[in-house]
Amino acid sequence: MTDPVQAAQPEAEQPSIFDRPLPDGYRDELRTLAAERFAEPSRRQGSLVHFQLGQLRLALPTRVAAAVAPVLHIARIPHRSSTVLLGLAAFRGDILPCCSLARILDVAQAETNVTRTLILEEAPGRRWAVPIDGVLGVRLADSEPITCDLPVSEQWISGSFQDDAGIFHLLDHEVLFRQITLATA
Amino acid sequence: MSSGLEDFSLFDLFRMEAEEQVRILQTEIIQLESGTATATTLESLMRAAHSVKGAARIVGLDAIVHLTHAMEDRFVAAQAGRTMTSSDIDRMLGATDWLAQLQNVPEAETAAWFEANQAAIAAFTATFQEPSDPPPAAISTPAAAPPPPTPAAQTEPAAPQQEKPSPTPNEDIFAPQSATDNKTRERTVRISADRFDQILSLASEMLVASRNLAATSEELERDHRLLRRGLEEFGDAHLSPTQVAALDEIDRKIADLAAHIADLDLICRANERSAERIYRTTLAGRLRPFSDGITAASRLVRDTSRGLGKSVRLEILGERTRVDRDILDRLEAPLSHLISNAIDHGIESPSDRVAAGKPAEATLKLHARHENGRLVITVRDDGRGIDPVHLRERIIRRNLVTAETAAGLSDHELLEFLFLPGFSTREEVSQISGRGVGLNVVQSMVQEAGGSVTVSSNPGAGTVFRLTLPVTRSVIKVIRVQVEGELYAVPLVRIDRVANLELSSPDDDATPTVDVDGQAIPVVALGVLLGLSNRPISAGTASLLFCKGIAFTVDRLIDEVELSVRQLDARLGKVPGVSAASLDENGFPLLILDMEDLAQTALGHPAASISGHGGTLAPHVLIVDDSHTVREMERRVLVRAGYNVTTAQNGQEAWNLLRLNEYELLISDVDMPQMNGIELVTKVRENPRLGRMPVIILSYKDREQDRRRGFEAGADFYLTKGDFNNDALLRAVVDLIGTAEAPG
Repeated sequence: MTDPVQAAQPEAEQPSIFDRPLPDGYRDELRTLAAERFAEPSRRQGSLVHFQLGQLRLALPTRVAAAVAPVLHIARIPHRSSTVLLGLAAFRGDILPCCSLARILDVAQAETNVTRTLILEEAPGRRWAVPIDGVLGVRLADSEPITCDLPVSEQWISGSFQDDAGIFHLLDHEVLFRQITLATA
Repeated sequence: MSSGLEDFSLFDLFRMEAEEQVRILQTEIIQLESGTATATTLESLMRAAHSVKGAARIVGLDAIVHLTHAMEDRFVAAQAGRTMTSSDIDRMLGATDWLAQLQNVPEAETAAWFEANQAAIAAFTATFQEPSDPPPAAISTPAAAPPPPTPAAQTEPAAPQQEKPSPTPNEDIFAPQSATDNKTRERTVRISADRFDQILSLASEMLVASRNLAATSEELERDHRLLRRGLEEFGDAHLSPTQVAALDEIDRKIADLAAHIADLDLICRANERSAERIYRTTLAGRLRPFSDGITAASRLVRDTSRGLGKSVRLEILGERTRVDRDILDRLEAPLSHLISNAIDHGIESPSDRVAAGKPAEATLKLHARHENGRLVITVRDDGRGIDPVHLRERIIRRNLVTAETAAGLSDHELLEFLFLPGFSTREEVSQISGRGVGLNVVQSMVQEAGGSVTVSSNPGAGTVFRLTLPVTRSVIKVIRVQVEGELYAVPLVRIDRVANLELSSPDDDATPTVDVDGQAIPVVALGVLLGLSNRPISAGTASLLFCKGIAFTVDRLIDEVELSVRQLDARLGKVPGVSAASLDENGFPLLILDMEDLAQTALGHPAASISGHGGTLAPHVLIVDDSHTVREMERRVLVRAGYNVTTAQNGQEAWNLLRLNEYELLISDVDMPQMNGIELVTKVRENPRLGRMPVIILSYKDREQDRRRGFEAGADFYLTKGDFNNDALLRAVVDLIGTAEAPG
């Protein structure tokens, strides 16, 4: 095939590029290229936030994890602060209910030292703060699911996968939000 | 950031526009009638009608387009010199009544409303083509007045102007207004209240952050001083030339550091000042002029006085007094009550006034001002006042006190009876007053807004009602107290006094008291009331908050500060003893206590909110069933009987709740997804904490082996849904955990 760049060199006596005849086989080559399907990008579930809760490595869809914030103070609520509802926490000028994820998942040994809170957004304006031990990163949800022993009841987990940092368990956020709502109402 | 108007429908926007313009129309039409109109009044009225017309056209409300067009025509004619008669004014006010009524119609019901009223609006619109008299039939509203007994004085039209062509329904409603309009009209931007509160929250957070930055700068300065002192320690030491050179370098760097810290300090202070200004300015955005809250007052005075054949002039002072919008919204109803009462009860008929040596026209003064950081509003009439003799007789006749006691009451004490529910000084009930609900309602409304109301009277000369309210509900003064290690805020207005006092030694069973001015005041531990501890009150000196005749002990009285008030998250429902939340100067959440609620609880009259919440008083029952209908039916039976009920959809969900909360009874179905009832009951029985909890199984399975399986798992009762009835369920519940007091 003629090199189009070379062919396009300005030469006074040559016709313009549009006047020249098509190279041999050009149409077939173009048809083949146009018919070729490109591989779809591998994005099954968008992206995930990986975080640590005690010894557990967990993940949640990024769309429900609005932010991570330091814990300044959790104010106890009279008659309400229970095992799950720890109290109220401040976040960007808002006051949010703060719940213990460790106690909801029934992994008391995973109780954190409450240094950071993950701000979960169930719906616009409906946010919860949950203490965690740290965020390990945000990754595309393209890892292959694996089968492994679950450290918490299977009702909470929608899948597990292996990452460079180890095995992560993806929490079922719908079940989680429903349970938080029930436990704090 | 968007304005938040995208959250509104077009009809909402029309409604907002109409609300604003109707306020202008009503106020200025009354001005026109009273003769206080200026040359620009007609121009302003025409513009208001024109704006509503434009907005109505956008949302396709043709009847309103025609109505406002007719109003506009009439205003244009008045500008051209045509006299506006009393019936014209009535007609105009009638038109604004239609607009006001439409504002209250929910969007979903608009079509139905128009269907029902279209003909009436069209007929009303047609009356604008008629000669000025007789007056048209306005829509029926409580404020609508019958025709005046004598023709009212004709309003002097504004100075004749060049006749303006009447705008047609097809004209360009977006046409620019005159240059004069742009100069005189205040530019405004609409944002939703929620969005505004969000901005206020962010401004408050910025203030907190700027203060934290200033604190960091101070820490750096402390570190700098320590470094400098450390360096000085080397002053007398014998050092090598290299070490001396290194120390000189460190010395120079410390000097540089000092300069940077000084710069940072300047920036921090400027930053803090700006943040403070932004916060204060934003906060001021919540404040509106008092006049915004009393737009209906002129109309009310006009209609009520005409209806009663009285002549009353309304004087409003302090219209620009700034008031929080929440307070302002709550003021309209109580002020309307007081104005109606004054005209009906206090102000005499013109002939009686003349006979008493007063001018025939009475004066009703509405005055708003700030006094000692509070908003004070007075409603003063120059009527007959309240006769103490008559009032005393009425109190005795109603058996409120004995004649002997009544004789000993001062005039001021007698007037307090006016605020009792059902009390009226009138023998007959009129459309306007005399039912004895007005003043009690006024008092309740003012108290709900955090204020109080008093009355004073000078027989023969008039009556004054004085309302004292907070200027804003968004920022309140509080006392911070420490209770069981946690900080809480107590609104200053709810506290009678604070003191550190010696408690009397409590006997075994007696309530501890504290002696104040020779009176034994009962002492209650605030921590116990808030459910934070069960620690009994110990003798000795205690920090006390006095409220409603009760002394509440706290660990420590911290300080007095101003806090920006936030509503408590709706997901938490009503929290007993808590009214709101806030962020303190460090950005920490802080709960604001509801002292009225706590005092009620302490007095043994727990507020409805507490029993309603149920977590504290009523036995807590967990119902688990995968059928929504069955769950709801069981829940209603038990809630009606006074129990506090939580529901779950399956065994797994119920197990999670049981793990995390305290329940007195479990009622479970058998066949459920994820974890069935038998598995759930088995798990409960195996759990050391839950093992002894009573359990009822309620199932469709009614075979003997099903029952046996249920009992073997650990159920105390096995009821079948086939022969289910409310009484059987309730009897089983009462057998297991006893009765619950039904909520009041």
